[in-house]
Formats: sequence, structure tokens, C-alpha cells
Amino acid sequence: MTTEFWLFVIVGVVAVVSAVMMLLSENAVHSALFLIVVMGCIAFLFLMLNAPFLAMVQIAVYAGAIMVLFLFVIMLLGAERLGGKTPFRWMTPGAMVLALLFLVVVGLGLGAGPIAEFSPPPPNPQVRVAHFAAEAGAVDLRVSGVVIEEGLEFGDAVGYLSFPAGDYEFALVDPETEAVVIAQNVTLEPGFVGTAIAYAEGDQPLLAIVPESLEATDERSGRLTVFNAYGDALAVSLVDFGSEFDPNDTQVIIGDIALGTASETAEFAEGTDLRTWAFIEAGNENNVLVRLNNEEVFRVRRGESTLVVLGQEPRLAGVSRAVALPLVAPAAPSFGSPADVGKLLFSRYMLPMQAVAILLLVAMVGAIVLTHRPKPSAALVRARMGRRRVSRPLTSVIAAQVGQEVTGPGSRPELPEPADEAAGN
Amino acid sequence: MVQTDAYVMLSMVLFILGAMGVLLRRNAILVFMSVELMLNAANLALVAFARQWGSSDGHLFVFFVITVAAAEVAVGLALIVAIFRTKRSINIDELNQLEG
Amino acid sequence: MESYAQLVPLMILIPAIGAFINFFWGAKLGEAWSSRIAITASALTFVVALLLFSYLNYSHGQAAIVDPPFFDSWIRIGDSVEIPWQMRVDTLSVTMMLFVSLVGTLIHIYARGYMHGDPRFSRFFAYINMFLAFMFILVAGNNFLMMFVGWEGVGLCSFLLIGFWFDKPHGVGWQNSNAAKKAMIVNRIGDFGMLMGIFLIFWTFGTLDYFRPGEIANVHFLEETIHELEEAEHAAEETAAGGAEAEHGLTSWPPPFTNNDHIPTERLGVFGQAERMLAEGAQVSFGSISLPIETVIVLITLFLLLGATGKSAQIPLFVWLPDAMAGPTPVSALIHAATMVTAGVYMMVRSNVLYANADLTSFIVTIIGVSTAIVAGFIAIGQWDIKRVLAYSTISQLGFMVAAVGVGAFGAAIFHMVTHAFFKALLFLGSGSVIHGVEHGHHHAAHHGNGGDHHDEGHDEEFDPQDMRNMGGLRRNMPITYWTYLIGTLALAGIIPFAGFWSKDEILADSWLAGVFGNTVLQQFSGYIALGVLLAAAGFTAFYMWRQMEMVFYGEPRTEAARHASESVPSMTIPLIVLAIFSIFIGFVNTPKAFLGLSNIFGEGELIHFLEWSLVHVHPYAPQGGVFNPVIAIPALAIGLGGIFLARSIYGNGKALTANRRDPLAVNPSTGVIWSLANARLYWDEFYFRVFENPFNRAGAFLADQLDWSFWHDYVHDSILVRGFNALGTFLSQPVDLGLIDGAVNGIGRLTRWASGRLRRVQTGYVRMYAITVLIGVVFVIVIILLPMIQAG
Repeated sequence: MTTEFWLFVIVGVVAVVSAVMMLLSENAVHSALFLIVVMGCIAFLFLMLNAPFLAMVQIAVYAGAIMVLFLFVIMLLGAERLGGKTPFRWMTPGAMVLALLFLVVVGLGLGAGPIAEFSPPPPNPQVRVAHFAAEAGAVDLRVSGVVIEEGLEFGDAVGYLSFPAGDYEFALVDPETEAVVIAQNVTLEPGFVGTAIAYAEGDQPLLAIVPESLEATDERSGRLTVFNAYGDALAVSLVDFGSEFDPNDTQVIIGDIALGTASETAEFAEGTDLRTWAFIEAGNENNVLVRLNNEEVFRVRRGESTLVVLGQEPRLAGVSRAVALPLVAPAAPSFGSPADVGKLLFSRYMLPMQAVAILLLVAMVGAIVLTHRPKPSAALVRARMGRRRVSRPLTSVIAAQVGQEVTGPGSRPELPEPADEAAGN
Repeated sequence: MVQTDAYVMLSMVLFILGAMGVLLRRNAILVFMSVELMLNAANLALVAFARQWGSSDGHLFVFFVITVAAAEVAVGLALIVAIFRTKRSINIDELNQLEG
Repeated sequence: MESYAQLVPLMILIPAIGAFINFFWGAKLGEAWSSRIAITASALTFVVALLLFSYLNYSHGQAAIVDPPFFDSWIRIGDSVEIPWQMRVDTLSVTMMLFVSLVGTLIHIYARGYMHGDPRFSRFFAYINMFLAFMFILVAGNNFLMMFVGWEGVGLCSFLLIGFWFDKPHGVGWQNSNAAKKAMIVNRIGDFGMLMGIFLIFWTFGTLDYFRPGEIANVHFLEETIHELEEAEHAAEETAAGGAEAEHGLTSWPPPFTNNDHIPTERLGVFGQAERMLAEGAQVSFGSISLPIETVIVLITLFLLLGATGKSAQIPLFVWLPDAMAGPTPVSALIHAATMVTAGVYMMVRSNVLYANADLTSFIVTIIGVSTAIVAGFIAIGQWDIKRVLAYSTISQLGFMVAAVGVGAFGAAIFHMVTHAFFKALLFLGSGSVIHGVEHGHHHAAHHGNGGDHHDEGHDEEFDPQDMRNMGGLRRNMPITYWTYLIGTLALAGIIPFAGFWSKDEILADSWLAGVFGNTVLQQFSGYIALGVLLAAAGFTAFYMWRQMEMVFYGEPRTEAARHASESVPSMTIPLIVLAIFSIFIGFVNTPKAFLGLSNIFGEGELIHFLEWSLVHVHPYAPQGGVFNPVIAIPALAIGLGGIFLARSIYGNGKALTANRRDPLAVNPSTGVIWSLANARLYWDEFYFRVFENPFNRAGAFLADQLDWSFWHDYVHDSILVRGFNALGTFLSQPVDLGLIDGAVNGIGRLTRWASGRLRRVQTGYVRMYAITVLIGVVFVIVIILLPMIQAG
């Protein structure tokens, strides 16, 4: 019985009681207020369900706007107490029976069925391929014969590709000679996310599969993983040299990464200064392979997962140098966060969102139209106050036919001015 | 973590209460509010399942439901106001002129 | 000369043109011109006939077969049927043409005066011209089918002319048209026989031509004549008298062939083939039956006889002739005395080869002829109508001719035909003149006489100008008519030297010859019968003719009309005179041999000689034929005179009628019954009516009214078809259409209304109602969805 559970029970009880009170209350305003309480409880429950954004929306829109609207209307119309007999005497017991039935069925269903045990099927594996095999030049990436990418240079990586789970043959092929640089069968499990890195151990090109995690990172932190593709068969370490001046505050961030292996994934706070970091030969501080000086390249940002690959770039005349290249991938936003909801809303659910927006617009206009009371025209007001009480539709008909109001002072015919000169005096 | 079952049960109870309200209350506004209660119950169930399945689509659905509920409430209350102007009553038992 | 024969198509063409003109423009031409055209046409035919006669003289009686120009072939069906439109100019046909055209022309002239004032004057002349055209087709045709064309044509003209006054009021017009109908229908029965005969002829001989070109009709006669001529030549050469030129003239004289032996049987005409087939004893096959040629010829001649009885008014088909007197008198004279009725006799004479070789038929012919002669003569005694007496007289004389044919006296038959044409035409025209005179007298008396007192004459409609009882003493007022009528009577009665004596005597003599020299018993028998009965008939003839004379001309006028009768116009009397002259002298064309030297003047049996070129059999027994036989002649003359005197004794001296206008014979108890039988015409027509017409009409009426109308139209059509159809329609419309279909359709409508009426209660208008309904639905759906889960769990 965890806290969560008890919290749930309390809030649930409050919600139910409020709902019952809402139903039973004679006063409409009280009912509205009870409903607001219910909504608040539900918002709390949303929070417990890792839906912070929705909780806020619930409070703001539902409890804040809709219920206010309700209260306005209640005020407008008067919270009447409706008495009298209903023609539906049988409604109450019938409703009770129905409710009971419903509850029983759903309870049974819940009890019997493994609702809680349902879990979503794992998503398709996502793989990206990086080319760090020094000796080969530009290659084509072929997965099971299908050409995915052409002209993959050293240090390039293909974006995440989603395959259905299964066996594939990843092949890097020289485009001109059709010589297969690397061909390897890879079994992709469902839910796998990772990078396939082609590197060379000596002269032998190899393909390593490095699993990654694109889950939501903690707040304001990024993920970092290191892969050693340095062909000289050295173990490397990622160290933080600290200050230049103090040779003793070198810290090993990640140590002893063997060739062809990836390090553990570590999370670092956003904005961590990487300028003092470097790859060194493991245990040998003096053999600095690469320094992560470049701020623009090497950064820790929140919501990103970076895979730094230490490779050996071939240079002219057989000389090579060590390079560290970051492969950055955005991590998923945290579940239930606004970012998460927003990401979905603006990608897949764009059209429904727009439709709902139009719906809101129309509803707004409709509400205005429905409640609009046209001001009676001046003539009509005069007509209402006129002497003769002609029914309003008839008045309109007569008016339409005659062309002017038949009642009211304006309809009296004008008499001609008496001629005073011509008449005899 | 509280099981999804519990949330669904709670949602069901609220839903039934809302249904009861629709059936049993005669005040039109009360009926409306009961409808809102039902919608909320449905939202609760949606979010619970979204958490279980780990997908944010459920959240999105709730978002839409809330929006549509807002629109519906606006129009519905406008209707009630307009009806009240004519009939001077919001007893739904008296609003039976659309009969066959 | 040679080409005169080619003129024969003109004989048909000229009257046809005359008829055509009078048909279409007659009314515009008026009386004078339409009669002139008709008379001219008729006269021209006589001229052409004379030319043809001269041709025959020139060609020594050799016949010519003329194909009219631009008339390719009449009927040709493949190779089997060839019936050309060919005309035959031979002695028989020319003889016929001569007297027909002459008598015809005289009658045309007469008709101009007789029909004066008739509203359809020109139509009349068109008709009689048309009649002449058809008559010439009949006599000039070279095959049986042309004869039949003419046969039918003259029948048609007879119908048209008998019923010429079809529009007379008071039912008279109706009677006239009935008479015309009767003539047509009775003739039709005869025509059936004629057609059957023609069919048989065609079947047997494969052709209908009398003779084919190049064929010689009478081989024997030709050889005889050539022989005689050669002898005459020799005689002339011997005497060296320069007068007798053997003028041959004809380029083909003597003809290259004197017999027909060179012609194969198929290329012979009917008569040539018949003779050959008879000689061979051939058989004729009719499908499965095969008959000898003699039997077939008997059948043919029997059928042709039936046709002759129709056209020539013999028993049993003579009943139309008396009624035909309803037509105008010129019609009676031309058609029913002189020409048309002789067509049957002509046909039989033309087929003399067939009849001479059909003993049984010849016997039947004789029997028919003599019985007709005696019966008609008997009936004539009891008639009141002047024309009816003459009609029965015609029938009787035709009986003479037919009897002559029966005994084999073909030449005598033609001789009698010729003489009879003249004096019978004379008598008819004379009777017409009498009738006209009496009519004028009636008008005169009724309107100008006793100051408009009509009672003693009665009304015009009741006064019959043809009734002899209304006449009497006309010889004073109508002298020309009287004298010509007297001549005609004497000629008919056979008083020497008038024409009838010679021709009647020829028949009697030939009958005696047949009786004595006949080859078979049947021939002899028929000869004697003919002789006996014909003598009696001759007596009757004289008797009734003198009776008529007494009643009409002698004594006192019995009515005012008769008293005021006047002589007819010259256009009527001149033909009478001409015919009277002919009646006196025409008999001399065939004076018998060895008679008082007359033969030196007129030649011996010239006519029959003339005819012998065309007829194989002219006398029953050739060698003795043509000789004057006083044994027969004198009793015949005596009988004739006796008849006259007997009639004079009964009817003469004002005793023509008894006091109450009855015939003296009727009053006499011993003769009363017989006389009334004669008056009633032996109830012949009534008998036919009872036996044939009435049952036929009743059967027809039954078939029409009962069978066709009542049963078929009314019952079957109305009851079964109409009502059945209506019932079906009603059934389909009401139960099926209205009930089922409409019911179904309307039922659907009603069902919908009922259902909607029930269903609309669902719309209560109460929101709560709707809400709970929705809720129930929701619960229901939830239950269904969760049910499997509940069950699983």
C-alpha cells in the first residue's frame, strides 16, 4: 500500500462523493461547484498518471472556462427548483438497475481480463549506420540487397532507419568495384534502437552494433555514449583535464574503452563544458588523441543523446589521425510533457487539430447566433406601442403588402395644405 | 504504480454517476453538467490507458475531447438560453415538442 | 385477193373500236352520232365479211389461218401448252360472219329508231357493238379457247343488254335485272360443261386448235373437187370454147398436199387427231384409268352438249330465254334470235367430226333437240306476251337445229340457222314495231283521247303494250309491219317458197335419210324420232304463229291503244322490209337438187356445198343428201298449212279472245287443262325453283345465317373468343392486376404506414427517454464486447 495508492483512494473517494453530491443537490450552483471539485480531483489523478500537461489543461479549460460558463448560465436563468411530478416514475429504478448492470459487467470484465497486463507491442527496431572504416572510400550501404544510401563517406552516418524486426544483411559495398567491404548478418530485435558502426581493426573491416537509448532524458541533461573505433587497437579513455594548469585534477569520465566497444551511457547536465575533455590513450595521459575543444560540435544539450565515435581518419600518404565525431540524436520528450503532446499534435494529428479548431470557431459563432436577440426596429417598437393591437405576423404581412406600417403615427395620410390664397376670402 | 484497473473502475463509477444524472435530473443545466461528468470520466480512462501503453496518443485524445466538450457546452448552453427565452422553463420534460 | 383473209382481225377490231368510242364519248356525241358510229362499224364488218367471202371463192374454199399482226402468242406455257390467237377464215366461219353482220347491221339501224329518247342510248350501241366483236371472236377463232372467249363475251353482253332497263320504276327494273342474272347463271351452268369439254379435248389431243396451218379439213371433198375441176378443164379444153377459163388465181392451186397424211399426229388439230385416233383405236389414259378414244369422244361431246344446251337454250337450260325478253326488242332480235343462241349449234357443227363419231351423244342430242322443239312449241301456244311467243318459237327452232345436229345433218343445221336468223329477226323487229305502235296508241288514247279519262285504259303501269290481248286489228293501222310480219310468219311456218320451207325441209329430209340409211340402230332410231317429232313441232309452229297473227293483226282492235296505234318510223320499218325480202329469197342459197328446175337458177345445195369445205359431215348419208324428197316435203307443207288453218278456225273471225278475255282453247273443256299447262309454261321454272333453286338458296342461307353468322360469328367468335378474351382480360385485370399487383404495391405502402405509425411513438420528444435508450444501447454493446473476456477469465 504505497502512498500513491492511498492518494488514489482518497482522491477517488472525494471525486465520487462530489459527483453524488452534484447529483443530489437541489441548488444548481452547488451542483456546479461540486462538479468543479470533481474536475479538480480528476486533474490530480491526471498528475498521478504522468499527464502533467493534461492536468493543467483540465484545470484551465474545463474547470476554469467551461464550468464558469455553466455558472454564468445558471445565474442568467436562475437556479430554479423544479418541482412537480415527472411522467417518468419508472426512470429512477430503471436507471439504478442499468447502473448496477453496467458496474457488474465492467467489474467482471476488469476482474477477469488482463487489462493491466496489456502492454504495447515493442516498436520496430531503429538502426543507423555510421561509416568509420578508414580504408574503404565512399561506399554504398545495402541492407539485404536494397540500396539505402549511396556515397557514404568516412564519418557519415545514415539517419535512423526503421525496419521490421528480423534478420538483415548489412553490406557496405564499393560502388565502382562492387567489392563488398563489409557484409554482416544482423538480427534486429523488436524495440532495438542503436547504431551500426563500420570500423576497421587493422585491415579487417568490422561492423559493430551499438545499442542506444532514445528515451527521455532527465530534466536538463543529455546522454553521452562513446565508441572506440580507433584502429590502432588501443583502449581509450575520455577524460576531463580540468584546468590546464593543474595536471592533477584530470578526471576520467569514461575509461578503458576497448576497440570496437562502446562505453556506458552517461548523462550529463546541460551546458557541461566539454572544452577540457579529451580522448586519451587509456592510462596514458600524455597520448592525447583528440581534444573536444570545438564547442559547436561537442555540446551537451538536454533532450539529446550523443554518440561520440573515435575514429581514425585516413590522410594522404598513409598517415591517419584520430577524429571524434558526435552522432547526435534527439531523445524522446518525457512522457506526458507538453513537449510530448505537442510533438504528436503538430505532426500526426495536425488535421484533426485544425478541424477541432474550426469546430470551436463555429461553436463560438453558433453560440452567438443562437443567443442573439435582434433589437426590434424602431417602427416595430412604435407598432407595439401603437393603439391598435394587431398581431405581429399580420402586421408584418400588411406592412409588406402596403409598403409601410399601417399602424402607428407614420401611416396616417397627409392632408393637403389648405389653399389660402385661391379660396375666396 | 496503481493498476490501470483501478483507474478504469473509478472512471466507470463516475461515468455511471454522470449517466444517472442525465436520466434523473430535470434541470437542463444539471443534465449538461452530468454530461460533462461523463466526459471527464472518459478522459480519465483514456489517460490511464495512455500511461499503461506508454503512448501519448491518449493524451492527445483527451485534449481533443476537452476541446470538443468546450465547444459543445458553448453551443448547448446557448441553446438552453434561447429555449429559456421562449419557454421560460428549462424543465426538460417540457421540451417534448420534437415528437413523432 | 389473197391477202383479203388477213382482214379478218378487222372483224373484231372495228366493232371493238365502235364500242370503245361509244363507251367513253357516247354521251357527248349524242344520239345521232353514236348511232352512226355503231351502224358504220357494223356495216363495215359486213363489208369485210364480203371480202372474206370473195377470198374463199378465190381460194376454192381453202381455209386460211390468220395470225393477227403484232400478236406474238396468246398462251404459251413451256413446251406443252400453246394456244395461239389465231383466226380461221373458212367457209363455216365466213357463213356465220356474213349473216351475223348483215342481220346485225339491220338491227343496228332498227335500234336507232327503237331506242330513240332512251337516256342511255349510246351505251346501248356500245353494248351491241361489243356483242358483235365477241360474236366474231367466237366464230372466227381457230381454237376452242377463242371460241370460249367469245362464248363468255356474248354471255356478258347478253347480261348487260337484257338488264339494260334495270332502272325502270315500279319493280320492272328489278325484274329486268333478275332476268339478266338468270340468263348469266343458267349460261354459267352450261359453261361448266363447255369447260369440261375443253379440258378433256386438251387432255386427249394436247391442243385446242381446230386445224393447224397446212391441214386440210375435208380431204375427201378436196379430192373430189380437184377431180371435178380437172374434168371441167379437160372438158373446156376439148370444147375449146373460149369462155371457160380455168382461172386458178390461187398460186397454190391445186394445193401441194391433198391429204393430211404427211402431217404427224401431234401436229394435227383436234379433229384431224380425232379421226386418226379413231382409225387407230387409240387409248387415252387418265392417270390410272385408260379409256378408248370412242368413249372419250362421247364424254367430250356430252360435255360440249351441256354447254350448247345452256347457250342455245335447250332442255334443260332454256329457262333463261323467255325471261330474256325483258330486254329491248333489238336485243331480243339480235342476240336471242339470230346470233348468240346459235353459238351452241355452231360449236356442235364445228365439232362435227366428234359428234359424228359419238353415237350415244348424237342420240342424246337428237332427243334433247326434238323434245325442246316440241315442248317449246307447246308452251308457245299458251302465251299472251307477243315476245314470249317468239321466244319459245326461237327455242323450238333451236331444237330443230340441235336435232339436225343429232341426226348428223350438220349442213342442214347451218342452213336453218341462216334462214332462221333472218325471219326470226324480222319477227322480233316486227313485234317491236307492234309494241311501239301500241304504246303510242296508248299514250294517244290516254292523253289526247277522251278528255283525260283514264279509266278505260287503266294507268300506264298496268297497261302492258306487249300483251296480245290488248292488240287486234293492227293490220289497218300498221300495214308495213303487218305485211312484213306476215312474210316472217309464213317463212317460220315453212310455207313454200319462203325461206323456212327449204331449211326445215332439209332437216326433215336428212332425218329421214338418217333413219333409213343410218349405220347403227341408234342412228336410225334417232332419225325416225327426229322426223316424227319435228313434223309435229312444225305443226305447232304454224299453229301458234297464226294464232299470234289472228290476235295481233286480224279482227278488231280490242283496246283504245290498239285502235290508235300508228305505224313506226322509217328507221324501224326499212329494216323490216329488207329482212322480209331476205326471208323470201334466202332459202334459195341451198335449193335441193332436182326441184322444179330451181336449181338451174340458184345452183344445187350451194350453201352446203360451200360448207363442205369445212365440214367433213354435212349430210347423214352423203350420196343421197341434198336431194329433194317430196315424200317428206309435201306432208311437212301440209302440216304447216294445216296448222295455219286450224289456228284460223279457232282464233279467226274475231274469236281471238272470248268475251272475258280468255283464250278460246282455255274455255274449251277438252283443251282447257292442256292450254293452261301451256300458259303456265309447264311449270318449268317453278319446278326448277322447287328442286334446285330453293334448296340451294335455303342451304346457302343456312350456311350463311346459321353456320357462319350464328354459329361461327356469334357463337364461336362472341362466346368463345370475345367473351373468353374479355373474361381473361377481366380476370387478369381484376384479381390479378388489381388484387395481386396493386394489392402488393399498395400493401407495401400500407405496411410502411402502419410500421411508421407504430415506430413514430419512439420519438417521444423526451430527452430522458432518448438518453436511457442510448444508455441501454451502450450497456448492451459493452456487455457484448466484454463477454468473451469475462468468459475467458
